[in-house]
Amino acid sequence: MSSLKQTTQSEKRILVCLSSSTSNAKVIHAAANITEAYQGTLIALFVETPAYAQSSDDDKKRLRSNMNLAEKLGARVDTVIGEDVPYQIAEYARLSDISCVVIGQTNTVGGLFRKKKSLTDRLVAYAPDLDYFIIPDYGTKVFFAKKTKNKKNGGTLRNCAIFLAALGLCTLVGLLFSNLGFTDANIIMVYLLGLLVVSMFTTHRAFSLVWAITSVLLFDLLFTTPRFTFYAYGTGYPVTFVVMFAAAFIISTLAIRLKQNASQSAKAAQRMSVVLDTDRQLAKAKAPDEIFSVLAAQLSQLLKRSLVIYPSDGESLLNPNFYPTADDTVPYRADREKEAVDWAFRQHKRAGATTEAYPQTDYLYYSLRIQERVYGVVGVAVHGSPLDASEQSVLASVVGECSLALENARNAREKEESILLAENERLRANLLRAVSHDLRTPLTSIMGNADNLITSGETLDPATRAQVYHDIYNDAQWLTGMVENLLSASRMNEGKLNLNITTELMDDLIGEAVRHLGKRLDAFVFEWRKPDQLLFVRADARLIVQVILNLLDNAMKYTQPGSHIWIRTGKENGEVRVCVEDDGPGIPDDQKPHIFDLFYTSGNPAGDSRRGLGVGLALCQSILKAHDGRIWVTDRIPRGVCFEFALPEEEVTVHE
Amino acid sequence: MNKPLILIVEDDPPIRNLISVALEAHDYRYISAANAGNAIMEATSHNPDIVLLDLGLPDLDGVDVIRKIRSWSNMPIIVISARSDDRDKIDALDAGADDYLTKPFSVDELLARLRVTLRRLNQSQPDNAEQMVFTNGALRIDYAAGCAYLNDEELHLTPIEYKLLSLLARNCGKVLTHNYITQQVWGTSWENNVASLRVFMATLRKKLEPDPDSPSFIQTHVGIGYRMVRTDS
Repeated sequence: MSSLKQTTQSEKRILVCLSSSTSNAKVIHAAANITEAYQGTLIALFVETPAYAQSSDDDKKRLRSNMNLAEKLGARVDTVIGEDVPYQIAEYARLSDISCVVIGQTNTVGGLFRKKKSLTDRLVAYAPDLDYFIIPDYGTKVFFAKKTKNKKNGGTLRNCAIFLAALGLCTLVGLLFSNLGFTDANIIMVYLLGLLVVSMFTTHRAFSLVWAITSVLLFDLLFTTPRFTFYAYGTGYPVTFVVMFAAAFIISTLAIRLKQNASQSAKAAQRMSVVLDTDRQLAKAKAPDEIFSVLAAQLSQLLKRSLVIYPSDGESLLNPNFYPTADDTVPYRADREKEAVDWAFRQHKRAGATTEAYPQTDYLYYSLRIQERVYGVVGVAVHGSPLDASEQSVLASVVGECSLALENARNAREKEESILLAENERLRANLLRAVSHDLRTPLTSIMGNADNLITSGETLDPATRAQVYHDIYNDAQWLTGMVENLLSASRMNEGKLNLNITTELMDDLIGEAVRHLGKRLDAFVFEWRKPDQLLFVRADARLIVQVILNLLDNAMKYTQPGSHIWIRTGKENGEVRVCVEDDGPGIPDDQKPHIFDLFYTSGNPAGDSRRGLGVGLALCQSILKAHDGRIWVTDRIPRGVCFEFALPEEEVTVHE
Repeated sequence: MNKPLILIVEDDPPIRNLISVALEAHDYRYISAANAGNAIMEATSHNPDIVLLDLGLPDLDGVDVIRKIRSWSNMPIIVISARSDDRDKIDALDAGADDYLTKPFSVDELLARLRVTLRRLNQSQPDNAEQMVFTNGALRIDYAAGCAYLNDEELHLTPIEYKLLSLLARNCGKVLTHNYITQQVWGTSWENNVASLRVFMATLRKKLEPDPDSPSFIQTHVGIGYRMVRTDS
């Protein structure tokens, strides 16, 4: 921690101010050189002012190319929103621990009611502690000198309507006042009020100015003597006109600025809330898929543009997911976009439309990455209307948040996997140990018996020989059952994903187990009771058959031939239950908690050393766990034991 | 009838030996092959009645051997699989195998499978494609009328149940995989149809089998599929 702090303190952080000026490139180059000389980090800052929205396309294009240049020279590009450019720069410098600012000299923001003090002077006044490098440039045009006239005409009709309505209303009220004999001052007030209304509710300043002129003329025409001429007898009237005109001008300027500020701060607030919302949702999302859908949802809400997201498996990009907006009819041309996507993925940088890498594409691509690891690429539809600077910056921060979330998800998964791996490894080692130890007994018996038959088969009497054959057969059968369990256990160890889950009829599974035991059950009184209804479960058929086999096998092993064995099925609380009962000696209470433990075998009174490895029930339990089921044991009244397991019931909809 | 000729394809000598001893003891003729190359050669030159095919061969996957044989012959193939996974059995059945055995198997089981297959061969030899009426013990299906009878009483089957029954009957003796059946009956094989298949199979059995607990017409092969078996003789 302390070392981290030291580096940030010793490292110089250099800020360069971006603008749409042509000379800005020179400033950026100079800043990059300075940064290299200091071995510092470069941050390029653009202050988005209300006026920026009205700047010409050429200006926007130049700004973008300047941003690209800064990025290419290794700068981190950031955007802040505000009206007072020097104040924003100073604040940013203070918060981001900037030690040095590089700025072009003629970078001033035009404004009629502001002192013609240069940007640099005011910046120095705000932040006197910083070092400044001022790069002079000559003859280039001032920041937003050229305002565009290509505003959309959508609101014009509405504006005219408001204008005319207000004018009519004011004139009517004026006429009313005049008839009632009120003084002219009141009528002027009414027109000023109308002016306020017009500047608030129309979107262009021209309306306010036209209002000023029209209202003065109307006033002159209708209310000054002689009426209905543009002559005025009173000597004070010219002054009234001038004052009214000036008032109109100031009010309209203020109103427009007010509106711009309001819309800017609304935009900023909305973006901030999107970023916060993203954080909140990412906290809930765990899997990469969820994170990608949060990303898509947030970005479409924020940008209202079509999106494409390519997840990555670490090595290469997978198939993309599309999130088109409702009104986007342009098809996604994957083959044309391919190179830009790959570039963003390989180079870990932005690519595509409005950047220098593959600008001919329709989309702008960002890579989702943490250091060298890329988790995917997200593309935003540009379709000829570039993202503005603040959109880009908020896009970058949402993308950054998602990358971090993906990194965290990956780390969590890796940790989980390593724990699981260790657990599996332990299980495997135990299993191997138990197997190699306990399989020796039947193998010894088979080998010995076979050896006897080879060497002295002829000398044995038929009864003994028959016994030897049976022993070999029974031992082999025991081994077969053991191997089935071990195979199931090894499949369980490979994880839940390896299960082959299908919808199964419980009766089919029991039938299979019973069929498998075949003649062995004949030594017992076996009864299978089942309800009329069909009971379905979602399960790996082999594994559940194995569970039933193990339970029946245990019932046969731990009771005397001739005992009763029952198997019952039923439905309870949305679960399918299967119960295997016997009327044997039962299980003492002190052993019950342990019987599902791996390698637990009960001390058996018969002295038969080969009843099991203590794998069977442990395996049953892990199989049921993997199926979201459970298994438990109870006493059977009056005697015997009841093993019961439950699996979630599956509803089956029948397709005719 | 001549002694049937069985081709044993198995790379493990003790198992090959075991099978050949069992076949000889029960009056079958046999030839054997230890790898896929020999197997295909023996199959073409001797045209055996049944092929017993081990899936784990050294030179070629058993499923590919089935495909090769199926490209020119319909001779019954019973696969022998040592793998615990059902997948390879299903692949083999879908590739055209008739039946399967899982190691370890008993000699009884082996002989039973051979008998079933031979009976099917004998029964289906007379103009099997043109057969309009199918009989199997008490069960009779009149394909032309689209009706099924049990002990000469008409079974009231839904269209899907009838489709299932006639599909199994036309392939009597063969294990049909879930996938194959759902493809044939519904045209698709999604998971949902496999669940439906189990429901229809259960209702069909209720109507068909005298004792549904020990089915005599339709066998369930858990994790694999279903098969209709011959109950006569």
